[in-house]
Amino acid sequence: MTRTAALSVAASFAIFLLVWKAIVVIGGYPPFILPPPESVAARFVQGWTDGVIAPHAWSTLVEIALGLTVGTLVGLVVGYGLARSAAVERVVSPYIVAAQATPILALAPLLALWFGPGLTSKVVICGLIVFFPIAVSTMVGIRSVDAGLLEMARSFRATRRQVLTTLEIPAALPSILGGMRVGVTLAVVGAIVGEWAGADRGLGVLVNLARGSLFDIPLMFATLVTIALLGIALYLVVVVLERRLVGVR
Amino acid sequence: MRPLPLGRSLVTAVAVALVAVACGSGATPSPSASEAAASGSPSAPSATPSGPPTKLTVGLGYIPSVQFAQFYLADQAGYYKDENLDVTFQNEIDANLVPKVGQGQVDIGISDGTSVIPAVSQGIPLKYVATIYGQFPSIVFGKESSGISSAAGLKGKSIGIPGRYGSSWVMLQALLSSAKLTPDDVKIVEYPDFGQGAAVAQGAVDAATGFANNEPVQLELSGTPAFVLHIDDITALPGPGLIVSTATASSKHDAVAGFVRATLKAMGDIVANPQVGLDAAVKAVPDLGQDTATQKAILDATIATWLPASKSASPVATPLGAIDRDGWQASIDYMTTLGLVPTPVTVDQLVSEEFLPTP
Amino acid sequence: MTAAAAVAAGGRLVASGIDVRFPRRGDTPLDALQGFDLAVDSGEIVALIGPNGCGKSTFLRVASGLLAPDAGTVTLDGDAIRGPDPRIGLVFQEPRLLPWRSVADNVAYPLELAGWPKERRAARVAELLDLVGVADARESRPSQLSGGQRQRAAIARTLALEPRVLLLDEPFSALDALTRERLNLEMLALWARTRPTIVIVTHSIPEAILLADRVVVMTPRPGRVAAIVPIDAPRPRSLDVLDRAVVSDAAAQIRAHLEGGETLAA
Repeated sequence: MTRTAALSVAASFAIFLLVWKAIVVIGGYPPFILPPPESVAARFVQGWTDGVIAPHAWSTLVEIALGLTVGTLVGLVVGYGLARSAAVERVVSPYIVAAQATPILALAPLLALWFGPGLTSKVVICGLIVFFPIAVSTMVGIRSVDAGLLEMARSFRATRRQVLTTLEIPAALPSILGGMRVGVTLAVVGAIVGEWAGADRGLGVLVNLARGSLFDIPLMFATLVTIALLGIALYLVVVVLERRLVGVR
Repeated sequence: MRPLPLGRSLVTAVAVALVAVACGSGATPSPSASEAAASGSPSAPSATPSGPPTKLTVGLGYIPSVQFAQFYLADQAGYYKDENLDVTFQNEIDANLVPKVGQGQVDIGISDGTSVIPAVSQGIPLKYVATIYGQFPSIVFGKESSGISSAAGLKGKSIGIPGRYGSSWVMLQALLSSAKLTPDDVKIVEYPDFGQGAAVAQGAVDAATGFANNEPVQLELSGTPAFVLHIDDITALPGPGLIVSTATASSKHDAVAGFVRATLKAMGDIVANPQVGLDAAVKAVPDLGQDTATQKAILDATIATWLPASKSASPVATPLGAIDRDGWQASIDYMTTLGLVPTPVTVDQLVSEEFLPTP
Repeated sequence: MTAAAAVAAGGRLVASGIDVRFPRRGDTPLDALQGFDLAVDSGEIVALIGPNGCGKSTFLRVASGLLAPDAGTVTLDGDAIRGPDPRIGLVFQEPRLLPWRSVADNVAYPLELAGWPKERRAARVAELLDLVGVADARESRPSQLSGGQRQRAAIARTLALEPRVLLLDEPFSALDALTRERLNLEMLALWARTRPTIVIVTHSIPEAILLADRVVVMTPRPGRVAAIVPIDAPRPRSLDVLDRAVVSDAAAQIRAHLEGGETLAA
């Protein structure tokens, strides 16, 4: 990042903190309703150094990693099928759209019931929420492959597999990675929602614990900050990946 | 790249802050730091207060149920009106009831020691002003046929819970520790949708946490004898009672006292004659009339839990609403061992008897 | 280096009785080619010229094996062409380079698909880049090149597997006139090295005359051969070829046959 860009990010963050503090001070909110930023920052540092947040963060990270993997793989395959076969699109699309339209908050308890309270249900919920943007972006990307390039490859007797690896995937990558940007942030949501449907650890669980059992609101906010940072980190990973895989075109 | 227009940003920030404040506040003035309970004498019964009725918002924390019969009765019999009160009940599940009371958004709420102690420790300015449940209503239960009759019998068994939070979780840990067990010595099964009662009935788990006036009653009514493990025999955890914020305690002192008085009066009526409670509940919540037998059983169990265990033989020995300071201290000590009390608290910070009617 | 490029090239390409019909929804099928015959000798350059929609591009697709005709056959030295064949190279109107690959990797593409090992590929690519004159741009992306450079790269790619027949579908029509002339001459130079058989579709009469031994004029749709005009100019050809009388005769004949059908766009 250039120096000016970094400065503007820092400046906007500083303004965010100032506004937060202003709201607390002017509104007179008690710390158990809206803690000031310095108290959340202190609790954040404390929560990590005394090991309260870390095990929960790790648990959520595992759920996200597995959910992302499953959702992305299935999304890639289904997206490819949708792109290359009108029959597949006709048959499969209604179910995919229906699943996407049903709020995950409503589906999550059902999935927790079927898959049990362990890791599996979280991975399924997370994977489900990630699946749609990946499938759609893959479908769009594969369809966007220039017909002229496909003909050119055919003229050089490229096999189906070679067309996939040398042509379709590289051509679809910008779109797929765009879908992944959305997917990773949704994966965080999915993991938290999955935890709310039943879990004994994770950042979502910690939010509830902090709020409803410990009445430690600064900890609740610190956990929310952790969740946000997790989402940002994953997003940046995709951006870097995009830069390396897509490059100049 | 142009440098940031700092001036413009600051103006925007202030504008945003002001807008947020305009939308957000409507809440009480900031609570003062002092939580010192006025150690005045308990309020004397007053003559009907004059002036316009004081409005009170009361959060019951759960959906309409026969277990709130005393509130329905007091309302219908005009006890609140006699105290010059205009009471609005929030009869719904509310996960944020405690902070709402602390902030003053809700004047009076219902909560127990397992919530009040950590809340006050974290700086939420609450006062527990009247006991409703003399016994801790959160219990462990199961089918009698499981052979479990004490905490020790839970070892290695599967126990259904809503989640590792709340009063039931503290109660369970206390119960297990009394038999030198930890949650690792049992198989915890979570039912985030509160289906642990059904799970016991279906035999999916050996035992579960629940409420003395709910799940075991349902089980017995369905013809299956149940065992119930009470924590009171081991540790006195203060049961649910009325809570207010320290600010409300002073700004609406007389109104709170009146509310406590009226509610305890209704409780006394129901203890003496449970039928009036049942009638009031059915009148307030007509759906309950569909199965009065079940509702009566629940009400009877509720009344039994209002009364302190050792005194349940003679209900007049300890007045309703009385606060058990020893029990509170024992709870503070126990919950401190669980790490739930980061800042030490004293019983004086947590409770106040000044709103209880003089016996 | 020249040893590899000097493999005996060329081959006799014969198309006979080619019919191509494209079905249309809710309408009678479109006859693109009907009874199209063409024989091109080994090492010959034939230009295919005709009005829009006459089927010349369709013919190239059939000849390259990309499109199966509804009737008729295409043979190369007697072998029937039934699908894309490494002996026949097709250069499209647009360069059709992979935008995410460098020029070098684009030129290497057919070698990669054919399973050539890395080193052998690298050597051949270096040869080809030098041959067409884009060696300086080998690491650039297509988006960074001029139109002329891109088309050169595309031609280099088509030459990678040393096809004996080169089919070119208006390869220079997207370029400006000066670049076009230059590439025409470079094309002739390339041809002179190994004498492949070339069929080039073009809209430009001067280009056809400059490059071809014979100019085949097609009828409007459905396309068949309207006339074949021989170009009696000696090789090697240069731009002043276009000034000879024999050439202006040929041009006049071509024009006449074209105007007999649909008029050619300017």
